[in-house]
Amino acid sequence: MTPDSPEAGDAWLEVRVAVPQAWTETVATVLTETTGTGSVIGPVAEDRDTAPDGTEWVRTYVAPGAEAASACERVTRRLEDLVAAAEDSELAVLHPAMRRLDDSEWVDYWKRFWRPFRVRRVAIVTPEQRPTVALRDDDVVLLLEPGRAFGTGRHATTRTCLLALQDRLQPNDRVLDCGSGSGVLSVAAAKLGARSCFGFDIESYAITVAEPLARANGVDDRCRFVTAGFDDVGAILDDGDATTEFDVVLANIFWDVLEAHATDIAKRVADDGWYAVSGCPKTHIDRVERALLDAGLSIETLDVRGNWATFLGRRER
Amino acid sequence: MAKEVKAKIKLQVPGGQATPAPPVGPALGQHGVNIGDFVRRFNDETKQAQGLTIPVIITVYSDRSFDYICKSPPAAVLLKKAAGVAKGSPEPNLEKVGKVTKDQVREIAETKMADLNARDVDQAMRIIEGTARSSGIIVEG
Repeated sequence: MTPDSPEAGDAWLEVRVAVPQAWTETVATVLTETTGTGSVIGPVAEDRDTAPDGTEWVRTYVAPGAEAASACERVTRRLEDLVAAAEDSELAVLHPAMRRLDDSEWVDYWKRFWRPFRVRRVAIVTPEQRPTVALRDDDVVLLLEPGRAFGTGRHATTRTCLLALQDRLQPNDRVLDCGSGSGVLSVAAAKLGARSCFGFDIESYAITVAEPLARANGVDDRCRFVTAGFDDVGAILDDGDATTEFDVVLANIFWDVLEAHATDIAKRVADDGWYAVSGCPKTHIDRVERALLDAGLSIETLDVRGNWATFLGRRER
Repeated sequence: MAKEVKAKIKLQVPGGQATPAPPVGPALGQHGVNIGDFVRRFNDETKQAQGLTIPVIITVYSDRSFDYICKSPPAAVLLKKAAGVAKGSPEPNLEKVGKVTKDQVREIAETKMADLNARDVDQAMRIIEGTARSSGIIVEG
């Protein structure tokens, strides 16, 4: 069993194999556990051929990087082991075919379906769409290159934060963006007049998306992004024992992180500042509410949209 | 009126670790689904099963909205649980990491019959046994 040799490089690799129907789930699990990325059972849009009779395509993907070649070898070996161990005449051979995946096969999908939209005064458009979108004088245009990024502004939790910024942000406010992801909230805050925005995210990919977003929108001089979590961001933000506070603290993250770090959020809110805590599913409102109150935060508004809730308030003194 | 189903997508993704990268990105992106929304919901729902392989079926409707359901864990995961081992053997032919009984294999086969598309319990059991051997798990009895 020799896989077609993929070109080495910086692209994702697709591994596709035709699998007898009854074995698809097992092969998908083997592939998922070998590459760590996941697997897909069934056809995808790029398939130019159908799987042979009685089989289905199962595919996994290998991330670009130094480990790619050894990951491909592991996939081949694990499939050989499975065939040998199966002792099932239906599973006589598994022949994985590997090929480079072009960005056009996934990153660019977004562009095909992407439509400009607005959250009140904030109009979110791609650079190509900008000339075609009718804008009002007081619109704040946020140029976004949709692609690998999270936080494109469309999600209910991001929308409520964007509305809160438009309602409450004062010129020259200093903004802290906890779990900044794509940087969309920081960049929007800067464009709405914030003096400075500091975003941190535990995911290292986030900064590679957020910094170009700030540059594309001409606010990179007022936005700073770092890779850090609640536990180590203090070393960057604080000078000795003094806790740096902010006029606006945004946290659009998972509910259990909100619950665990409510006090870390609270201590960053300045005396006359405010916070927006978003990303809480409707089902966990009680838990997050309790954590925020226990941390000494008041809740002025609870905004529930669809399945998601956003808390707005201040720090109790 | 029920919405028209445009596609059903079958994925396996590590719990709590879906990203917009492949396989989720290409699989959902081809149908114009809001990838970020799926990633967020899935990771939130599967946080407790961090890193554990989770089969998920996503139904995409003609208006590009979607629903999804997480299925029972794959046979390989159930086998490891039954054998009380954290992971399969790196050298399944040489190094055995655990044991399961024939009854445990039958139980898993019955649980997974529908997901495996097996013709009958015997075929499902053969698949489960093969999966066990390929993970370095011995089937006793």
